[in-house]
Amino acid sequence: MSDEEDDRSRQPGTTATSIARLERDQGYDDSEEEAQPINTGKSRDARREEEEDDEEEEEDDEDDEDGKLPHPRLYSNSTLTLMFMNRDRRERQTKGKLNAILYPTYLLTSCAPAKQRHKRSRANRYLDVEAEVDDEDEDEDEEDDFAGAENGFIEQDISFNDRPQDVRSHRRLDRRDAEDMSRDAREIARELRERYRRDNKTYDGSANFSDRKANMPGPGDPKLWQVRCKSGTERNVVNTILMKGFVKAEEGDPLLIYSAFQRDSLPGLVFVEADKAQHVDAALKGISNVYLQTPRNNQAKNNPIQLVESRDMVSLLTMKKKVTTVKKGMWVRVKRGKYAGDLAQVNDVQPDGLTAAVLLVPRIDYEPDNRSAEDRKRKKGAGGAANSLANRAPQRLFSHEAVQERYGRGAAFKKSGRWIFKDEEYTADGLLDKEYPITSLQTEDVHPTLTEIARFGGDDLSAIADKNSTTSISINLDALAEQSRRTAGSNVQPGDRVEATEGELAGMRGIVEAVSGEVVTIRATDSDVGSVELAGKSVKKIFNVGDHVKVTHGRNQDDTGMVLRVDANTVTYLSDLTQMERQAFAHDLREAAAVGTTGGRIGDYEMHDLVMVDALTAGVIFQTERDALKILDQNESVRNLRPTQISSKVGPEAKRAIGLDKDDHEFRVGDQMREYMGEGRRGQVLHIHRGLYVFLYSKDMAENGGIFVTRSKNLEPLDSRPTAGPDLSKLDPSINQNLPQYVSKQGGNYRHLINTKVVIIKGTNKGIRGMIKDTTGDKARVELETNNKVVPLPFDWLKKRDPVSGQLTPLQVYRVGQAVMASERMDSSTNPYANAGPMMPTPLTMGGPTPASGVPYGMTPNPYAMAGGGRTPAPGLAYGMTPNPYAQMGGGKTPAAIGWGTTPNPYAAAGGRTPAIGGRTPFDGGRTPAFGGRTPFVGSGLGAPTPNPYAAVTQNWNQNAGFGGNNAPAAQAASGQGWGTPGGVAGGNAWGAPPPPPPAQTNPYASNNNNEGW
Amino acid sequence: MFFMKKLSHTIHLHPSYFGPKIQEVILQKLYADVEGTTNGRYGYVVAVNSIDNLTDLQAGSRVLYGSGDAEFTLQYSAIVMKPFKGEVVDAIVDKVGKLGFFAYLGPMQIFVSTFYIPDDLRFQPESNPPSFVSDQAGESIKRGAKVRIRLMGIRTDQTELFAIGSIKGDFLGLLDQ
Repeated sequence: MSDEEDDRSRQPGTTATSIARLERDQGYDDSEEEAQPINTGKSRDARREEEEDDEEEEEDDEDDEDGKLPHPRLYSNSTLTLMFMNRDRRERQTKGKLNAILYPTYLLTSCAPAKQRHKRSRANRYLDVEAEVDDEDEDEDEEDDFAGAENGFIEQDISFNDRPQDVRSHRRLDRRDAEDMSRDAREIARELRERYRRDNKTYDGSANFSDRKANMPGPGDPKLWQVRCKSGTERNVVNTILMKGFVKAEEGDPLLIYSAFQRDSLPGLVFVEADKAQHVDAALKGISNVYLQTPRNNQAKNNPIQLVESRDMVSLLTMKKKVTTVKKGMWVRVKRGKYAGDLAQVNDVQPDGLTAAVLLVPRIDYEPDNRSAEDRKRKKGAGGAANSLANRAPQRLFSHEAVQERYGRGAAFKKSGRWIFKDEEYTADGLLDKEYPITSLQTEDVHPTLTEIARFGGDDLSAIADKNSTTSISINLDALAEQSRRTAGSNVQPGDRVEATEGELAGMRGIVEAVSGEVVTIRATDSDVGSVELAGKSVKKIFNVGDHVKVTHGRNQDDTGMVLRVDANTVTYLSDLTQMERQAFAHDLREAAAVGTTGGRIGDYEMHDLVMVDALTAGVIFQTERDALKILDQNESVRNLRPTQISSKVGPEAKRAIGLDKDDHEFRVGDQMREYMGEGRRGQVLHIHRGLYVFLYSKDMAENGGIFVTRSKNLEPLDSRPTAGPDLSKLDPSINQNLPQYVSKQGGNYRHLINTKVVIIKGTNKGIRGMIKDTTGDKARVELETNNKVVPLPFDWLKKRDPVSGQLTPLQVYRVGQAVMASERMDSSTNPYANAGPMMPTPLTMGGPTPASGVPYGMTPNPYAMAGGGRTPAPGLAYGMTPNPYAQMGGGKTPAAIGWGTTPNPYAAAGGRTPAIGGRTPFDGGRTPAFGGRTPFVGSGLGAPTPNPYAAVTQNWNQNAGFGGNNAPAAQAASGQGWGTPGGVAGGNAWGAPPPPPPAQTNPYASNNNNEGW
Repeated sequence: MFFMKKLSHTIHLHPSYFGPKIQEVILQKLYADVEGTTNGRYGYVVAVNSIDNLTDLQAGSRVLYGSGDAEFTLQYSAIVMKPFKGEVVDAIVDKVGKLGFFAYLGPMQIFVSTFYIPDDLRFQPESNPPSFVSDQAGESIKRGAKVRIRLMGIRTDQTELFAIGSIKGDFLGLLDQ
């Protein structure tokens, strides 16, 4: 702005006069404070017009003004108002003004053209339209916007015309006219060109304007100071400074500052232009909400008035050119209020361009009572506003019926096809028609999603498309796709199949070869054009049915699926994870590898991960959205959480967790299980949480992505096909059987021993009784009866104490079914069965868990489990802890199998349930009858069917041990019959369904075999 | 489509298995490892048909240093099922929903969307079991029905095959019961 540069050198005095006069003339006083700035300083050109008026007055009484001018600094007041004026308008000003805004000081002076300019403008008005444009062209449009200012100008103009002294200017005009006439056209043209050239040099808005450096504030120029004030009061503060400036000037003690302004983008700050900090201080003193006191705790900013560095001044005063083109039909988002963040469609724009009527999906509260009660409760806490936003009613189309039901008849009434409810208007389609200032609408980066748009039609996209013609809201999906494609930029990558949409190659299909910036190189596939370069925006991606695609943007980001249908811009695909049909814009998709990926990963969390929702609750992710996870927690409730809300992810070690099913059999992650009670759902075990909650996944279930949760005790194995057999890269387990191998006890699970009464047999506490309260590793935490102390002790030091008899038995350290043995427990030399071990061809069955066989006492151990190595706890019928003298036979610690009272069972050693026949041929020398004359356990009704493993084992044993087992009757043949006889009488005869085999007499083991057949 | 395909598989064996039954063990392992798996390239391995190098297994095997494991590379021929885009297959309907139906062809699940079901077949939500019922012939697609489907797209996972198909077209759709 060369004008302004010139003006810089001028004395501001005269203009200052004019401003001061202007204010006086217009009867400026405090009462008109609100209205006045609009007239005085709304805009530069408005003021300039006024200046021109003043000039005229000046001509009247020029002389008496001089000499008693107010302090020139007063002039800054007008700049204050300039800065204070409505920012929206300010920002709509065209670039030509930016220069002025950049340098307030110069602006001051530039606003103050004295007579020279006056002359020209005077002439311009009548003579040379271009000349006026020359000077003011950038203000033209602005003038249109400010009807008020313009009106004022017109008024003035009229009065100006009426004045007699106009004759002078008329004369001047005539004179100049005549001059022009005398010049030749070429000269005029040259002059015009000159003018325009000069005009062209004005600030073009670009940052690289060459003269810019010259405009930079120098060391001699006033400085900019920043002062903190209460956030939100910035405008008031600036306004008050202006008032103060006027008042002080009237008092003859003007402020020594040049300008003051604030930026909306910098809340809590006011900027003052002055030479010295004291001037700022003086100007701001006494103005409320300005923090001139040093905050005591803030040592760093010890001076409340801070200098803005000169390099920051420019950016501080740079106005971004903001083109708000709000048009009917475009999508916007509401910034504030109840509908903050909601998508809206512009329905109408007010002529002033400041407000727009938008259509929204209403959030009418159909349950105000519940909600407000909740609200009130919450508001007692903190952050009421935030809560109310989170607690706002869901988006739902206006329903007259629902409103009537909730708010009573007459709450909403119809007026010219629209519903009025609570002073708000709803269209016939149920949308809210609401006016918003454009400043509170977000017009850029709106990115409407299909889901959001679908809400406008009541969650049915196709309905919108159908209604397209009839509804007031027209949703042109194609246009929308186009719009979002353009805003998102071309989203193509090498390898994508695309189609040209514009240009002479429109319709050509090809494969993207390279992308550099916005230029895409495409190798045509349907013609032999070869490779062509196209703008990224003029191609669109194409997909074929059956393509495997991945969503790259939007709500379903990272979802993968197979394309089912391709429309103009939208693609329907079948999601791999949910097997639901979903829609996406073609440009949001890209082709994925044909082999499915797990997908659905957000940060550290992946689909089907086990995560801790809080310290106590675990859940499984079954759906991932762009930034939210859907989690089914252990209580079967579905939670929608963001990744940050998850307290932790359960580590991979959880994969090794073991659960116990309804029969106390172990199962692991990956097993196929079925619900025992309830719905009988079946699925694959995904996670076992705390051995209690089991998360399963079933492909056949639609809800919760196929995930369900149940208790481990409510599961039974689905007849799983046998696992792949032994791990061939590890040692053959059958060899394992043979080796007296020490297995660390630490791996054992001792939890079943909790609450067992024990006596300590070693150490300082020897002889003291206690109870196991907890187990850790290979130690038990024993609560001593004497002093309630809890001491950790090795299991070796403890013996179980029968609370009734006081008898001591070793702890059953190993749980049933756990194929673990300890070498020190095993005495293979005394164990006849040990020999049978190595030859056994079916090692897997050896260590296998023995089913409980329905005995109410829980677990019946398999005495053969370890081929004599395992210690067999008492089977179901063990009342009391009868020590078994034959323990070593069966291997270690087999208590009486059928020990009624204290009678030891000699046959237990030979295998739990083989008493009857064996009883007749005791191999122990017949010390004690097996049943002591009592009813055999069969008769007690407790004799559930013998588990099968016995049969198998016995057979093997027969064959391999060479105890004459080959002569034994077929095990299966006899199986079940004897047991099936209820109320079997004491004595072996009750069992005698099969005749005692001859070898029984000679070989005690043979008889055992026979019995095993049961 | 089914193919007889020559494939190879490598098995590692712990020394403890070295013995008279080694061959049996190896075969068991091969069957367990290979049958019923999906290979993105060759499709679904239905069954191992024969092992080509069984007689001279030792030739292709070696003992690994460090572990003592033996490594066997088995050359075998297997029957594989490899579905192709555009292929027409017969499948059995498993689940019917309003979006379409799922059918199974052996291990492969096929989804047929309503887009690819002829317009005269309409979903009857009230029917039990849910089915697509034709306007004219009274034929209906419900669980257990046999249908002829043209495959439109195939996805192969490590363990499963999935396809979408169409019954819109000549000679496609419900087969005579």
